[in-house]
Amino acid sequence: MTSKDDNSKSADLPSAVMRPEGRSSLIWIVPLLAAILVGWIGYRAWHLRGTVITIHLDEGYDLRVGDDVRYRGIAVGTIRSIVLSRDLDGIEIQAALQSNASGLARAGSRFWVVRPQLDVTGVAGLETIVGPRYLAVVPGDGPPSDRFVGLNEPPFVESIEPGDLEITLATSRRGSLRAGAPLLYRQVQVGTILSVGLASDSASVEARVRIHKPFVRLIRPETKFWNAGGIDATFGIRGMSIQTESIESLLAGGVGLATPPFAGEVVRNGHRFMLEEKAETEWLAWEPAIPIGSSLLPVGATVPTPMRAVIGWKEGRWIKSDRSRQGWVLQTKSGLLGPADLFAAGEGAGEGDALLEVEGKSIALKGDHQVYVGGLAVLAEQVSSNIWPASKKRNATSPEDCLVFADPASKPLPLAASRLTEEDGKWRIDSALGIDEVWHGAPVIARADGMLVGLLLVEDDTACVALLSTEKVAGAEK
Amino acid sequence: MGALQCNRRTAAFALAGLLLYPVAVSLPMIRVDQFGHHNDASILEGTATLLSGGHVLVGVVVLLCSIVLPLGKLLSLLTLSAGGWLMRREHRALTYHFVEFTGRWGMLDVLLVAILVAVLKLGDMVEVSAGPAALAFTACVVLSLLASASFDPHSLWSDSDLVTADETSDDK
Repeated sequence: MTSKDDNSKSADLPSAVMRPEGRSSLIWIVPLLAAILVGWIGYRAWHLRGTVITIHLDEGYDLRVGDDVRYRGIAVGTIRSIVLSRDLDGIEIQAALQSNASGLARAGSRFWVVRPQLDVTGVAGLETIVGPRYLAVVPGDGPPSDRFVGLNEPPFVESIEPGDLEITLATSRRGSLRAGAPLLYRQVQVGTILSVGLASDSASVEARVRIHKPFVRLIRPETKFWNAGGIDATFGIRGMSIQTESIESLLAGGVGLATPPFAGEVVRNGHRFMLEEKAETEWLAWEPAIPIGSSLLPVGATVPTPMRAVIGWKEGRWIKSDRSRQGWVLQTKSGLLGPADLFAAGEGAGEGDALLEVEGKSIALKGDHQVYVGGLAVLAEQVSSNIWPASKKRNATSPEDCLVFADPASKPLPLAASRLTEEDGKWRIDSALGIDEVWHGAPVIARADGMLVGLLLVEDDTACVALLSTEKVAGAEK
Repeated sequence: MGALQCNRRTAAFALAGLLLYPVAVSLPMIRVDQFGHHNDASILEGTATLLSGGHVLVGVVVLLCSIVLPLGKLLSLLTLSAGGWLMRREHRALTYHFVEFTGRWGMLDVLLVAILVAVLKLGDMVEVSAGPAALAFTACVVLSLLASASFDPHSLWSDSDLVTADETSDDK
């Protein structure tokens, strides 16, 4: 079809040939799709923008726009802008926290710039020597907020565990006390000094100290604290004697502590102690047996201290070969509690007594141990004064959550009830756990009440919990 | 009727492009990670940085080529395709010349290629990832190309009244 010549102006123009086309309204889907896309992108950008907070810092330490805000080792936000504050007394940082980290923006949150730091207590912020600086944060617990004042130094305790004990030490002069210095019990760190400052009446120096949860039971009203920093050198006719708590505290300063036997109940938060100038010899001789807890057991539960035992015997009629087996035994009132195979030589043992070595003692085994149902046995010997109380034993039937204690220096092995299956008086342990032979004989403590319920037995790569039983095996006595 | 159809299509593409345009220039286009230090860059920010950094000539060129001219092109196409009721015919012709001109100078599409080349070249040293605007930007480029390609210049001299008259009389 051709267009008609109605208009005089378009009359001289050539007419176009037009082709009919399909449905035209479909094309409006394109702008609709674009609008949807814009909405989606806009929503995402708005969502990802997160919470914008402002932090005032005294010093920028070469922090730059685009650097991370990190918490627990991952980036949770980005620094948007850094400007000098209006009155020139610091800098103002604008940071955008990711939306899932907006919980960090609450009153009491502490921010500081992580930078390489090297001092006597250690090295920190090594990754920032080459990499960029970043802003670290410890969340507070106040109401949501968007303005913060940052710290110049990293706070000393980054995570406050529930169950820690906080006490105050008072002394006449500061000496080598400093925040971050350790509290040492037998030269093992049991706590940290949080802050040191003058008392409100300036009559003494006060240090706030946090005792870590497992060691809270060491602190009794009679506990003595002394300044353990520096060297105590005495010159005499026989030469010079030097005494120091540990190299670490020699450099960094620290507080030693000792608790006498029968020192009273465990103290509460805020208890005040006097900090002495130096330790008295008598204090160092104190050796109270204070069971320290494990964070996995209920409060007040005792942690067993099993002893490593090795049984050795000779095998073979003519050619003798030495054989041995190792495991853990626990001192109880009636004797050593352990796996039955630790108290008797294996089959095919030659003449001569099998020897059990435990706690530096050699015990000749005469087969007079008492074997109980389930593979446990008791040998009537007393080798340790650290006796597991009879009141902390009980019989168990159906599987429950347990902890296995072996080497006191290593962590206990948790056993979940779901990994245990009951099988003729024993709890078989899921082989997927892959329990090593080193756990053989280790005491098993119930998580619920801290009671001893049995021992862990590992034989031929299968592990089970042998439950305590009062039933003796008839005729097992050789 | 054909010209109208074409223009309708052009209008749809141009409108879609215009919708995407603000997102494409204002949101982060690329995210550059270099030695753990990362930076988001949008087209607007980049231009502003250039201008405030004293690179006036380069800044103005970038501003014109990647922000002003593409926007002008899309707007012109939209108004042209909207028909005669918006503009007088002489103006429409002028506008069409402007579209032709911006098509040559608006470097939106070229910029995209340039960025892609840069991304490929930087490779291992710097990690570059696309920001939310990249998708919008790509769509915007494609829509702008489609809009100018589908525009039928015949509509400039065929009056919309005339077309309506055609439809009613001859189409049966």
